[in-house]
Amino acid sequence: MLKHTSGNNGETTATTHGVGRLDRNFHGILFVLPVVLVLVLLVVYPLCYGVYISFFKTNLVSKWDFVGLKYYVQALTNSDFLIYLANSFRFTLYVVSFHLIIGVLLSILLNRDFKGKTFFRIILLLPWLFPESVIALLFKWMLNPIYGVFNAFLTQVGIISQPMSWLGNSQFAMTAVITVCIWKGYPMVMMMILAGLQSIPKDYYEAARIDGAGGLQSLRYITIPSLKHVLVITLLLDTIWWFKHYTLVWILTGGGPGNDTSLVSIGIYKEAFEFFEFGKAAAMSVVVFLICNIIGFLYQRMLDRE
Amino acid sequence: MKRFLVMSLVCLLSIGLFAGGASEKDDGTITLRIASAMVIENPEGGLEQTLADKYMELHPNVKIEFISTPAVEVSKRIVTLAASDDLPDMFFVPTDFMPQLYSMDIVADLEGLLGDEWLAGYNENLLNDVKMNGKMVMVPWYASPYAVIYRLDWFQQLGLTIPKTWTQFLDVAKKMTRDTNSDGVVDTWAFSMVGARNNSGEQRFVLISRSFGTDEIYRNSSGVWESDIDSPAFKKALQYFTELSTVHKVVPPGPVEVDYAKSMELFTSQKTGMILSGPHSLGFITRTNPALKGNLGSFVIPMEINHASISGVGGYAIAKTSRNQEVAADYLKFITSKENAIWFGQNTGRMPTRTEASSDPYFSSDLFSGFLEAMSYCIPSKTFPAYPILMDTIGEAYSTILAGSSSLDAAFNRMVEKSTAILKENN
Repeated sequence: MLKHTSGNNGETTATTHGVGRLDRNFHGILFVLPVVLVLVLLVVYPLCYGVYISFFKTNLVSKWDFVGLKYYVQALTNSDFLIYLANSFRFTLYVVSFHLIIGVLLSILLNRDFKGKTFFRIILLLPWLFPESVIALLFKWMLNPIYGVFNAFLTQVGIISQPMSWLGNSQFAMTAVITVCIWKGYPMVMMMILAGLQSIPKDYYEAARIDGAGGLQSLRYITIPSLKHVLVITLLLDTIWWFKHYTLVWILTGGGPGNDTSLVSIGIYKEAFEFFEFGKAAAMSVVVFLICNIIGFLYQRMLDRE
Repeated sequence: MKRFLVMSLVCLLSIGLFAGGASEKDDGTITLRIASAMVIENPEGGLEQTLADKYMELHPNVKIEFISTPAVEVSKRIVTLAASDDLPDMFFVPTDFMPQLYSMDIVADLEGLLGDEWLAGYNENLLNDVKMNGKMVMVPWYASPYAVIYRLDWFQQLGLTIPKTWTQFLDVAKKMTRDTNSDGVVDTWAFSMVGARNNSGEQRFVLISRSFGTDEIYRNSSGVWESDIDSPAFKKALQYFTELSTVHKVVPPGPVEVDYAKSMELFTSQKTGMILSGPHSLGFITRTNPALKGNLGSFVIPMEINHASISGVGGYAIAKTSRNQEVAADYLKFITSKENAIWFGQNTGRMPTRTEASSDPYFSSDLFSGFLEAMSYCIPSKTFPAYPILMDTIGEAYSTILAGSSSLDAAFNRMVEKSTAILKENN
């Protein structure tokens, strides 16, 4: 819209609010355009292509037989996929829960002032810094039934008399895998909660102390309410991350023994790259994508309720 | 001016994001890209590079570039490259990938490129082994027939004879499983069992099941796919295999964790005295533990009903999309020529596929006697399109029994149920 104003010497100055906004928007659009293009190429396109593939029996090169929703029906009625989902939920529940417990406890401790605080922060952050493949190979070696230090220690203290196969025994495989994943992932939760704790003004605690509140009451009425947003975001990220986790479990057990540690990510990988059933794997991936969206939606509802 | 600066910056950012590598100059150099699974192996990698260097010396206008990929990842890589239209000129072909490769139709006319005269020099059985429905999908470079590699010195020390049957094998295995340092704990076992649920383990188990007179997949006279997986003989094979660990304990603890690499580790570290593998393992064994040189032998896989083996053939395919097919074919002729094949075989144990090379005295030695005998019991590769899924069903059965999460009957019934569904879907 053109608006005419009169200047001091009687001249008219045309100001163009609409054109000015367009000018600013144009610059903004130009700046974000490269990133948007990259996101479209690396995120949107593969997502859409994956959904497209899920409707075909295909080898991605020369065979494209349309099968409609067949693979979706198969995924939801196939006992193996349901086992993978159940394993994934169980795995995620344990890993995320222990991440939360360990992360909160350690962050509260690290939030205090004591000598060597920085040193401990670095040490406790180390598991997160190592690549997952390195950690998986290290633990695989430590848990080896014949050469592993874990068995050697347990034999020496008399807890076991014969070598135990921790990753090859149905009773212990999932527990072993969960333990490794807890060790690997707790630092992220710890650091996010620590950052949240450090943003809580100390005045609140002083005021609570003056009012006679103890440590537990401060935790309940000040710390946890102040941390709620951080906690929900952290839990959301941790849940999504570990629900679709692949690397550690694949290297440690390959999803075995049997299907005992087969997560949904491993099932999808095998379907695509060992059985070459790309359409079926894509359908399974879409189902997992929808589940992750539902998880995200539920967490968002928790946040919005505040 | 401001808008011009903004536009320039955006363009620069975009170029930076999408900047690719330098393009090749057209100076007459032919670059042969080869996806190789051998180049990262030891000692095969160094030897393959030496062959490539030799070829480049003889043909200065040819540059060979290897794309290294572990053998277990090759099929995945090739599918991805084919889907993105970026196949190399040549790629290694694992035998279990042949049915998919055939269906993808990405292999050039190998018979046309090599010519009848050259092809006549191959072992006929091996040549048939690399064909799917009459079409060659691979040029065979080496053969690695499966047999049992054993510790000759342990057999001599314990007064053992070569077992011909599985009953004899178990007797031998029980004697080889012992406590060598008298601390009351068994520290040496007879057999390096690959109990992992992967292609290595499944392939080895299937050889045992075939020696019980079964065939896990075949076409009947009407062309319909059938399987002996539901037969009592197959169940007997499954029982025998798993009881080696669960009952007789002649294999190290945790067989489900043992893949091919781990099984080799157990053998070279002298924790086990027998391993089911091909002569390709000999090179690795003697390099890892030179003390084992001269202390190894081989015998054909024992039988319940009949002996069985696979050729273990390995080689390369030339991509249909390659612009250097003739050069690739020439390179393949070079590496499979008599002199080079014998040299490669002597250093790796991988036997030549051309008759003029395989008749070299080195491959008739005692060490190779089991492998040579195994060649006469080789079963051709399977062309069943869902073979990997079928094998995985078998792997699930034995791994759940070995891990203690399933009884023999439950695992067997589940395997039969799944394999029946697979057959139904593919018939």
